Formats: sequence, structure tokens, C-alpha cells
Amino acid sequence: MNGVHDMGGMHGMGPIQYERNEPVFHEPWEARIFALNRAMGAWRKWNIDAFRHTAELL
Amino acid sequence: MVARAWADSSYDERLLTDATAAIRELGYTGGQGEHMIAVANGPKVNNLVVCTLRSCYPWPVLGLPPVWYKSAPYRSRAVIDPRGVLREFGLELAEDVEIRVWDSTAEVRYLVLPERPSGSEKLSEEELAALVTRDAMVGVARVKLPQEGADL
Repeated sequence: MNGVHDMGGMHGMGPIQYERNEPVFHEPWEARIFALNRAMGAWRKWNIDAFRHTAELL
Repeated sequence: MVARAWADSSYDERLLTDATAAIRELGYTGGQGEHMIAVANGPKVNNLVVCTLRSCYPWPVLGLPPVWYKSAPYRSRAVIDPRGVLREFGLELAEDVEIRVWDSTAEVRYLVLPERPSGSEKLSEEELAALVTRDAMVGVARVKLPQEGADL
């Protein structure tokens, strides 16, 4: 299936931006959302398929 | 894992045959690492891992992926111009070095077993482990001895 997320082979995306000593999270909200995402999975209200589907609707 | 594989040829064999089990032996398990495949670099082979679809990455062994791994430039170009991509990471490979690109799927995650640096024969497993970088296990860097400059 083709989609905007299937990026292999696309042109014109520019140079790779490498960040030295990159932190795991750049902002506190990223860690909070990550934890929420994991917690919802443990609660069985959310799973990886729902996550992928939702992300690909963005 | 990498240092163990370098130091112990039977572990090396187990890692390359059934990476999921070999990694579990050392206590690394969990989500995003249920189906692991280890691919070995050599003098004439450099493996490179990408996820063109998203950001699939082996969390239990490498943690969360860096931004560049998830970014459009890396994902789009790793499969059509891997040599150029590696050059951007400062890794210039000779023309006769084959580059094998592994595109991760929703389930399968790859780990590059870097080549043991020459001159490291006397180092202990712990000393070897300290040389191994995340980038080397994704395949965008080689492992170097400290005097060669281990950092990218």
C-alpha cells in the first residue's frame, strides 16, 4: 500500500540532521505523552495497531 | 551483546542464528524487541538499518530512536543512496565494501553486529563494550579504538 508515510526512495527531503549527544526527550511533554501511551496500552484501551492507524491519519 | 559476541565465538554464533534468544540470555526483553535479527559487519560488508515506514527500532537494546532515524531525509534516502547517507555521517566506505540495507517492519527489528576494531585483541569484554556505540549498532558508524576517535 502506498502512503505518505512510506518514504523509502522519496527525493528532496534534504540533508540528515544529526544531533550530537541527543537527549532521549527534548521537552518534558514528550516524556509525559510517551508514559501516557504506555499506560493506556497496559490498561488495554490502546494498542500498537490503534497507535499506528491514528498516527497515519495525521 | 556486541562485546560478548566478539569475546565468545559461541555467543557470536547464537546471536547470528537466533538473535531474540541470544539477546534474552543477557536480560534484554520487552516491547519492540520481540523478533530480533542480528546482521554482522565485516571488512567488505557494512549493514545499515532503517525503517522507511516510520520509526521501528529495537527499544530493549538501543532505547528510543534518535530524531534523525525517524526523519524524512534518512528514511527516504537510506534505501536509494546508502553510500551517500553514510558519507553524511562521516563514514566513507571503499567502493568494494558492500552495503546491505535492512528495512525494519512492524515486527522485525535489526541489530548490526559491528566489526571488532583491529588492535583490540588485548581488551577485556568490558573494555570492548565501552567502545560500542548506538550508531555502530544501527550501521551508520564503525567501532574504533579511542585513539582513532570513537566519536562521530
